[in-house]
Amino acid sequence: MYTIIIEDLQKVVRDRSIGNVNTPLPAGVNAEYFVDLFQQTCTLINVRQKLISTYRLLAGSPSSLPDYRLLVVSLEVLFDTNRNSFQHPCLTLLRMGFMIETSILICLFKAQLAIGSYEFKDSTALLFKCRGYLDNWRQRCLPTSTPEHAPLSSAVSRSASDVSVTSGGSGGGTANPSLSSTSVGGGNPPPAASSSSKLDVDLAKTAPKTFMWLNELYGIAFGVDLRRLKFQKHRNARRENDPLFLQRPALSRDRHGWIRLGDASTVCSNRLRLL
Amino acid sequence: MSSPLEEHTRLFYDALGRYNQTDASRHIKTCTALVANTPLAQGFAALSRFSVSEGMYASYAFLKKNIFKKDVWSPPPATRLCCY
Repeated sequence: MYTIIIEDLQKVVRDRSIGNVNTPLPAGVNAEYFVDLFQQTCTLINVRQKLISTYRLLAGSPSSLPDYRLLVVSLEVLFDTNRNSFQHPCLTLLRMGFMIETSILICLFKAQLAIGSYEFKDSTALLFKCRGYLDNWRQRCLPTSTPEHAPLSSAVSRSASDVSVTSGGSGGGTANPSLSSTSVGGGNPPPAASSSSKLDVDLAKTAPKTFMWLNELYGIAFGVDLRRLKFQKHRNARRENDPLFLQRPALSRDRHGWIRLGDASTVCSNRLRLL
Repeated sequence: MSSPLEEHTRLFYDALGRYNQTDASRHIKTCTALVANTPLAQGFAALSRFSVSEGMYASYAFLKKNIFKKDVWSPPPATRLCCY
């Protein structure tokens, strides 16, 4: 269907009779306005076709996982090439949707690669960033009256829903949390997870289930209880001015069996390093 | 001051960007009527097919349904499998 639409639009764009005396346009209509619009719509549809082919690639390889690095590179090229390709005022919202969607996919693929490399912090930050992009998408592009789970009957919808079998969260990518190239123009970027403590606090407040999942993950991987760690951190902060506390030996065990190293302000970080 | 055609075209693309098929179809019908028997008719006829394709919404629905479960962010199944 997209191919037919592009062909029809390109016929109109190529037709030099637009605006001629023999075939007049309605009063007050600027022919160039619509020629530009149709040209840029063709570009937009081409971009969408490439995104759909990415979804089909994910859906069509149940046995062998796709090369996420190649997908990241191709999506980044697609993003950088086309971020300014359609600047027509009518296409502002569609352009924003493309940029957010591409950013989400890039982050997901990078997160997948990070998890494959056991880089859990980076993958978590990337997934958190993905959630921010998705919220941004919903806030900017979806009306409240639109049913979010409307029936999808097109072939595109079917292919996209099939992706769940294989991609299931095909996040992935190199563990580089700085995604400056994927920042969405005109939109508020998701909260940057540059600080792990800030990330913990944000997650605990905004996504308690995610925090629980993270806690479970860190518990299995490193034997760390984030809730306990946060409690210890607050308690140690209160003791920063306690001379008796500061005069304790540099290395000791508290009543909970935790190893203490250094002064109160560095207990948490040193404990993590020990574990 | 934009013409009625430009205004309805803008509203059509806006509805398309918001995945609102009902409004998109309504505005593209108005546009098609305004450009009847003009060189732009073929272009808007093509856009009217584009408006009902629903392909624009598929990606969001897929991401929302399969990767970000409902309103609670949770890691995707493949990620869970990889983690554990």
